[in-house]
Amino acid sequence: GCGTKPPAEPPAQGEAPAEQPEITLVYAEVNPLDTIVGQTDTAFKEKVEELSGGKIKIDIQASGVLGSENDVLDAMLGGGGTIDMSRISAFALTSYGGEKSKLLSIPYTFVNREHFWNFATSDLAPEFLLEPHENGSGVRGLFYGEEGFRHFFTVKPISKMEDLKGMKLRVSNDPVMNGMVQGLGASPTVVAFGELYSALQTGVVDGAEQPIANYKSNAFPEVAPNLILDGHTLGAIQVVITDEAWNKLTEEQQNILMEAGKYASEFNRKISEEAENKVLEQLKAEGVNVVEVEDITPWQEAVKGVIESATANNKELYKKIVDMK
Amino acid sequence: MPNIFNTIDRIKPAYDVAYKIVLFLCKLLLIVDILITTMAVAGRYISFIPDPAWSEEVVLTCMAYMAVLSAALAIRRNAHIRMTAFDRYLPKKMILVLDIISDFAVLALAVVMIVVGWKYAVLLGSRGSYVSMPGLSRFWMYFPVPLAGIAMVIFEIETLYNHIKGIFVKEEDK
Amino acid sequence: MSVESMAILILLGSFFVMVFLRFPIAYAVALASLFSLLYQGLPLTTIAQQMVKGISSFSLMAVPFFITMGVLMGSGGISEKLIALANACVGWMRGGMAMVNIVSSYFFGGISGSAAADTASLGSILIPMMVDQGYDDDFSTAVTITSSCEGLLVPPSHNMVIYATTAGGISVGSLFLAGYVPAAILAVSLMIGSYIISVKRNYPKGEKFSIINLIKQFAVSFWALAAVLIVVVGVVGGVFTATESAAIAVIYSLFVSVFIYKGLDWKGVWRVLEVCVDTLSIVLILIATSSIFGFVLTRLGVPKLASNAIIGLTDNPILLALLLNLILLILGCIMDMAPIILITTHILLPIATSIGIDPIQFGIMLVLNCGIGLLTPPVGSVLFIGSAVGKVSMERVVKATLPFYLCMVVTLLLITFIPAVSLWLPSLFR
Ligand code: NA
Ligand code: NA
Repeated sequence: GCGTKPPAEPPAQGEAPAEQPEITLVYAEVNPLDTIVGQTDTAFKEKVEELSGGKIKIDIQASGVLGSENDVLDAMLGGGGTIDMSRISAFALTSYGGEKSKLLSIPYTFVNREHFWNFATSDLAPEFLLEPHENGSGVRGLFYGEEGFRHFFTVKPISKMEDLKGMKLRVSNDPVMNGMVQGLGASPTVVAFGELYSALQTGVVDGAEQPIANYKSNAFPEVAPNLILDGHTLGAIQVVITDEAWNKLTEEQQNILMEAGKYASEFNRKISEEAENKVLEQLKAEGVNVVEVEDITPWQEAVKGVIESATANNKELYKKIVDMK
Repeated sequence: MPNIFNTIDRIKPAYDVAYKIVLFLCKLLLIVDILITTMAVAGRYISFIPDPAWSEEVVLTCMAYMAVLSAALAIRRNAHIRMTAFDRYLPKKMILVLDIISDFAVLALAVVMIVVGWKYAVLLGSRGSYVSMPGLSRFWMYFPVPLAGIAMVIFEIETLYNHIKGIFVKEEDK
Repeated sequence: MSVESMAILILLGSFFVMVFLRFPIAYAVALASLFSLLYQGLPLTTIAQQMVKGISSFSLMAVPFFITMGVLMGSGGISEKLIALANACVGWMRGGMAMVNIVSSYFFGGISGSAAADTASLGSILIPMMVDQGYDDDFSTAVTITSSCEGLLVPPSHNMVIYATTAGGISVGSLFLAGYVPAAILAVSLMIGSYIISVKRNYPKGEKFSIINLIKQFAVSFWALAAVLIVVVGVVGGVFTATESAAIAVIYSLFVSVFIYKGLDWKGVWRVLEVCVDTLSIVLILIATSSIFGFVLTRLGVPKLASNAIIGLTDNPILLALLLNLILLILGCIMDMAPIILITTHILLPIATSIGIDPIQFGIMLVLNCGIGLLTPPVGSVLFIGSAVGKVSMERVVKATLPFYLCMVVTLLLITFIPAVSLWLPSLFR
């Protein structure tokens, strides 16, 4: 945990500021380190260790070895320091009372990357990041990032929204995503992520949705080579730390984390568009049928009801985000 | 000594009833799991049958309850897998003593499960909900742990009592 | 000694002591984790969280469902018909039922992709059948659990998907193709092993093969065979997933048992459910508590430490390849499959490629190693399920499995040292 540990080697005489013991923060990541988010984690880790002169160590446990995002959040919210930090999707906080975080994953909210980053660098962002802390959940967000827009991909060729009608689409089991799929005229289907490849292969489901990078890294193009770039949600990510770990840090150390967060956030912004374009080119070269969506308005219209009911509690705040484009 | 045991033994029917109730619950949970999963499949093809988003989470929670409750039943049946390879080289008394040690340890574990399980279920319950059902507290996801602890304590006490009785009754016989 | 090494020592040491003191393994695992957590000053709530997490895997759901299906088939008259059919097919051969077991696992592996589900489903049907035919229960269970590992290699295999995703840049399609031949080799080596044992133990040999009898039995067991067919066609045809197929199979067996074969009435069904719950009571809690143990091991970085231990030990490619297997086998003894794949892939794959092992070949090695781990004490979910379904004590199963471990190791060595075993089939489709 973030318990203090004696340094591995006794410091040489003369130096050693004894009041700053070494601290290790256990940091959970669901994805492998070579993904966009994994690289963002590493950038954050390296910056923290650089700025602290190695006094704060970030122990990244990647590839989901500590569990899914919900498992990790359950461990963090349970307290005690099993996991101190984690990179999560902002969406994951929805089932922990994250009313504000929820707004970030409302379908067709962000029209482009700029729009999201306008939000992520606005005065509103810190308020959103602190929501779980203010809710009394015992965690706080440090900074935002993104893993690209999420798009639908299907087994059968598609060219327009209407082609999704009647298809069985696998989405996460939360009500907003399910409502969105229904709004598009398809039927949401429950399939565990581990069974998704086989389910696409055999035809239990006709399609699913992921950010482009995940679509490729999970080998889904092999079984569902049709990608429609509807960008229904932007995969907003954030790095969270438990209040327990935060409060153990000195103010200086807290500043280091914030500073490194700012750096990692910018790093993420820089690489995600680049990486996504690269992956998209690769996919096209591999023969994936990539369909551009010229006009997103009909999609927005189709899921209007879901958007309205999901933002009912926070209408003004939601409008503020929409207006940031 | 036997008199005490005879008095306590009168509680056995209560244990039989407790066992039956828990067993009934386990069977029910198994049936519910099978029915919900079947319904989810059918609902994909037949329009009037629902294919709800909550099916997966509910099925898993039911399984968690069944797992822990049935495990407590296995304590009473002395059915849990353990290493018995060296039993034939050990004197009977020794085995009985080892049984009592492990029974006490499991009892202690059960108490820990009640205390920390309850604490955790309440804490998470106040902070989160099911993903597919924002209205349902996460308490119910973790409540199986303290519940299991209670069931384990109940059946472990009886097992422990039987073992201890085994020591005394045998000594009386001599 | 550092805090971490002491915590690892406490975890593993107390666990083995408790196992030898005859503690129920399910609770020894939990207690050992508890001690280690206490020593590290970590919250005991981890126990609650990891127990629930351990059971909350949707693909695990197939296990209770398939066990229920097997028990229903056994009491409802379906198994009886299948026995007669199997006998008509292979009764003339010594150890024929063992062969049936091994071959069905190959095909069923093409459905479930999970050794646990395979043991739960085929085990709960075939072990009673084999015992009924005069095979020893420990042998029957051993054949069942070892052959269930074919299911990890025959596609679809969830664990291969996990590996491909973790390793990155590997085609799941090619990896899937790579599994067919190794699985077949495993099947053949297990068949040879069980034939030798069958001859030695003088297992029964039925009447001579008769085509007329075979056709007759096919007709008689129509409804029973349909159960198998529904699962196969349903999954391959994309009507439902493997996990869901288990629930459908339960409903179907129920229907046939009650309405067609009339081997059970509703009261009987209710009674039979008790047998299911009894079996599940042993298995599920082990899976739940093993998850705490696995989490503590992971958080202490044990798989990383173990994997790093072989770096720099030797430059000899043969020794290095053997070491790779050894480290995976050791980890497999104490941990579940998925976490091993997730953690060790990044450390071991570069070593493997440095000595000329193809990433696809390594994936097959990794999966089989972890598969063997599922069959070994002290922590092995398939071993536990087999022992519970076959109602045979763990030690007896392990003892009876000894010759089969040998068959598996031979297969493993073939996969390790002959790349073509894994790579030939995918190369045809490139
Ligand atoms: Na088998
Ligand atoms: Na094992």
